Amino acid sequence: MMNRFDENTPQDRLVARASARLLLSAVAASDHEPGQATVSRADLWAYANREPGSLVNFMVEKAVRADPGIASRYHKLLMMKSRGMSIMAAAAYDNSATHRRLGDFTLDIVEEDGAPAALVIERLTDGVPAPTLIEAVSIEGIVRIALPAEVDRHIVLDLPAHDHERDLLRLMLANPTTGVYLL
Amino acid sequence: MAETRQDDASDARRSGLTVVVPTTAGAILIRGLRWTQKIPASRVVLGNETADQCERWTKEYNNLLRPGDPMRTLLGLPEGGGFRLVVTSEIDHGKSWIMPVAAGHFGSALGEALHTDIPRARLLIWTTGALDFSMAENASAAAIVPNDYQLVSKIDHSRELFATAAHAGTPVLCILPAGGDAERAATVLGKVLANQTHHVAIAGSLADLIGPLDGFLKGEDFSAMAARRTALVPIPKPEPRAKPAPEAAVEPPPVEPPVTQATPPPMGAYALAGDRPRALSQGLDSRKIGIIAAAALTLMGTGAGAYLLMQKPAPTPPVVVITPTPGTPGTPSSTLPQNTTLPQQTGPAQIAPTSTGTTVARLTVLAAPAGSSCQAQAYQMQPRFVETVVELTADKPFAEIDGNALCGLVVAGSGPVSARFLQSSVVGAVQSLSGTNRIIFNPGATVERLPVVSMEGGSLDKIELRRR
Repeated sequence: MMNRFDENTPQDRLVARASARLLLSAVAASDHEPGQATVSRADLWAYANREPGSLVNFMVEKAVRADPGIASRYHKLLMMKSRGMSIMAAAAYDNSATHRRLGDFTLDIVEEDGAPAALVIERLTDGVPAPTLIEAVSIEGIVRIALPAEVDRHIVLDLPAHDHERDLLRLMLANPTTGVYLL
Repeated sequence: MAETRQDDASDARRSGLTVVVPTTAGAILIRGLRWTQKIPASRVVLGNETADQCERWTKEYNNLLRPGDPMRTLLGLPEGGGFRLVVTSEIDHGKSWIMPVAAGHFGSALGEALHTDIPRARLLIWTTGALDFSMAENASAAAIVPNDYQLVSKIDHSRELFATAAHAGTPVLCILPAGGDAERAATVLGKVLANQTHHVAIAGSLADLIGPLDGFLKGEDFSAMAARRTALVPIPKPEPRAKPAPEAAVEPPPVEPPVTQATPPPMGAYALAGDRPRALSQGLDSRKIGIIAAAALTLMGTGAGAYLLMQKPAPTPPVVVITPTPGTPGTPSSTLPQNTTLPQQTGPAQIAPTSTGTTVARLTVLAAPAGSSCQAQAYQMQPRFVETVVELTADKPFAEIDGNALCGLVVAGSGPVSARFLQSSVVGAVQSLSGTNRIIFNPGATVERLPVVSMEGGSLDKIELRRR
């Protein structure tokens, strides 16, 4: 059936809107092509070494999230740097009991009534330096948060719901396909 | 130092405690305290949006609260797991946060929530000082670490909180660490808090912190505590303590029943409280009984002058005995401070070899406990002395005592003999702590000549005391 846009029925308007969206995204994708080329290895390295809270090169972040090739290179960089990593949780139970093994570390999310969720990282082996940063990469985004000092082999980080970044980390860790890196 | 609570009706609406961690840069409040089994590490976090962890504080806090550590057992905290302490601000250095945090834990263990809403709180707790748990087997062994705690400066920075409490009618409990400028700070606090319900006490150990706190949380009024305080500090009260069980065997039977019964028997329970290495809760319970008894005592006389009057009525039930010394009816007010009997911590009181002559009086020599000094004990709310009993016999007109670390002397006549110190012979005594039967020497003074014991009713009328 042919679309007649001049009839201006509600249905037509929906179709028109959808078409426009497709067109615009195609344009955006084509705009993005040259931009990708500008994400150099140096940019990627700088991005992998960024401090939490410092200025972020959004072009790189966008590229990492959108371009599988750049994402793979970024993943390799983080692997080199990280003290423990997991691209995918071996088994994800449910939101309230997320458990991962990351090399010499295990990672848990402890959720209890009346207290914010807490990320608990336990160091399993002696002589391994404690990580200072955690980075999670998933379809929801990229989050990098500084970790507090280790206490009795445990690093505990509160993830209060009213802090956007930490709440996002909590959601991402519940997703078994999230890559988690301890740096 | 305290007023009766006027707003009893509003107390029903109050719940929880507000605990202040005073610092020289301003007061920090505890916003919450939570225990979880699932996280085996304790931490201190800020009550801000991101709940940032206080690195240095967390490390020290966790060090104190490892499973099996004394602080856990002394405060009755759950084994295992970890605590999450939420505070309003970070501290830069120092360990004076231990007392307030211990208060918070104690209150929390009794089911009180910790929050920062002073008008809603049952009690505002203001305390500071570091505690040494290293050798602590019981709460009174967890002693305050002597230090300059900058009390006056900390008080100054907390005035706003005191004003908030005054406005809302929230009672304030202040526990100052003994030593240093504690006396001065107590005076300052007395003035700052003059128009509100408050209680100020000086603590030498953890027991002195949880005693009043436990009393309050179990419904005791500050006026009762104040009564106990007046009973203890300015004027020595007649409540020598029954000996703890181990010494009971050594204790000779009372010579004679007491003349009058002014002191209720529960007093005995009080003096035992907190001093014995027994379970904390027991100590507290008996302490509380003692508090009531002490309150009853102070009702008998108002103010300092009453004490002297009370000496005559002479209240000493048979139980009320100075350490191993039997009850002495002639001199009922043997005037030991309530907690003078701490011998089980410092070694049991020894009885000097009895000479052949008949005992006409017993002299108790008060010395500083190991690790402490007369200076520290003399101004303690509950002084602890090592007591040595010397029997004065009729066959010798003088007695030799050990002059080392001599803090004070207490004399009690035996049988029909009444004994007291000859006032003209007393040198270097602290007036407010001394009476006719008791002398606490001024820690700063050099006592060259020991006093003379004068007696009535016996063959001798006086016995000279000499240094050995």
